[in-house]
Amino acid sequence: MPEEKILGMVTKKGKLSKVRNTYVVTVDRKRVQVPVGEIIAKADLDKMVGKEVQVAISGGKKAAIVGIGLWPPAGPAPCYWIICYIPVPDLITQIGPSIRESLVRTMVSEKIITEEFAKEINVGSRG
Amino acid sequence: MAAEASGVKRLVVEVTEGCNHACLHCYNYWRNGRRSRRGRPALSRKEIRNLIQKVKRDAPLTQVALSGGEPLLRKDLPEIVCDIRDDGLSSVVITNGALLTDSNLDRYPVGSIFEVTLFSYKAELHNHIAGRPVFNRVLESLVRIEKHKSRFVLACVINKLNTHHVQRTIELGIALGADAVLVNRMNLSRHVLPLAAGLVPSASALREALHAADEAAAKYGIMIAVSVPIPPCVVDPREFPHLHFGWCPRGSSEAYYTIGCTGLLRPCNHSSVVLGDLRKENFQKIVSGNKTREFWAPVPRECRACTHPLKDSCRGGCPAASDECYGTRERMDPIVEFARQPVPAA
Repeated sequence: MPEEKILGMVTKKGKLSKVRNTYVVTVDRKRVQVPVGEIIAKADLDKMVGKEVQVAISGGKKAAIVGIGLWPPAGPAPCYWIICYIPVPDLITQIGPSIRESLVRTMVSEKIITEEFAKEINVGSRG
Repeated sequence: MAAEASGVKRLVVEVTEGCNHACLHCYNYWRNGRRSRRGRPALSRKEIRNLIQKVKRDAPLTQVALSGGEPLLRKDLPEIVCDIRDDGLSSVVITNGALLTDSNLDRYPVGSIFEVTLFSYKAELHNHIAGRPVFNRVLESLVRIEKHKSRFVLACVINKLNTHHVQRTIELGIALGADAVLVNRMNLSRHVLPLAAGLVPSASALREALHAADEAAAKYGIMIAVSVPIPPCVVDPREFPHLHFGWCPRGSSEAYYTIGCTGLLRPCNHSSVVLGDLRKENFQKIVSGNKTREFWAPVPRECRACTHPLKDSCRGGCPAASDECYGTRERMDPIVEFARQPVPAA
């Protein structure tokens, strides 16, 4: 089953079906209900019924669908995910030391921070 | 609603109303001398723990955000964070960052998460918006957090003055060790309304700031959330594929009910509406009661004919802002009035 991380969030491929008035995505042989209205309008879900979809999943063991879009995603960007209030721990991704070092140099060269202060920054110290 | 409310996973606890900053756009309803305590003393550390445990008995709580005011003004904040951890919950301290010293940081558990505000990469502008000369202290705090092996999320609140500083501010945050970024537009409340014309960014300025954030998210792979709702009639979130947009959870399991520093429960940290007294009533009873249900119910009249694909997510933007500014949730988010300009059809 295709699974990838988009912006640190797990996304999976599944299939959307409609059971009475509820919408259900089957992912990894599990059926998860899609919260209508919170992340996507009912009319948009109707257009995807019976089709393969990509879902964004959040919440660890108690996984919840926080985004849904058609598979394969259209357009230049992977897709956009509209999610309700985002808890900080779910957002956290560590940035690579090389990116940080480069930005520290930029900040020094643009005199946003001093050379002395830059030496205090411990890029990569958290391992 | 009761079943939904019992699914609440997050809680905000305002541990103090005091603050050492005077941010131009501050929305806290007790600002400018409006009294909120009604003669009640602030909760003690033990009371805070008891109330969090009380909520946990009624809901699958996983995370507590400690806010204020400035929460670091409470000397026992590190112990409150430890209590939360000992109760099996995660915490985030929402702070302006100016009071984090080596000695008080040492009292926090390693791996603590802080959400720290930075308005600009330029000292003068950050200090102007914060109302205090604190820029250097904030940067020093961010370095300390990393040395402590804890983590921080950068929170940049956008107003008219700093929209053009967003990308560089995010880059400064990443350089200093930010693991994620919140780019939130300012949210209006009654006492900020007189300043709104000078502070609320136009839709085009907001769009420009969001494009800068979107570019940073794509370039550096950092997660950037825009968690204060932006109605699509102001700026369409679909223009920004790398940003995560939040909407008002309106009482769903994603809601973040807020315990004020005296134990009164409110719908969120932006609202001054008191739903109940958590010291006397149980959480489930309050959040499934009529007052709570009525708070989330109305969709503004002006929004009922909306045809935008995101209308069911938006539902008028931030109902608490409408309530605070206009005294009714039947009107749409006041940000629309100040920021909106014609946008191309979806």
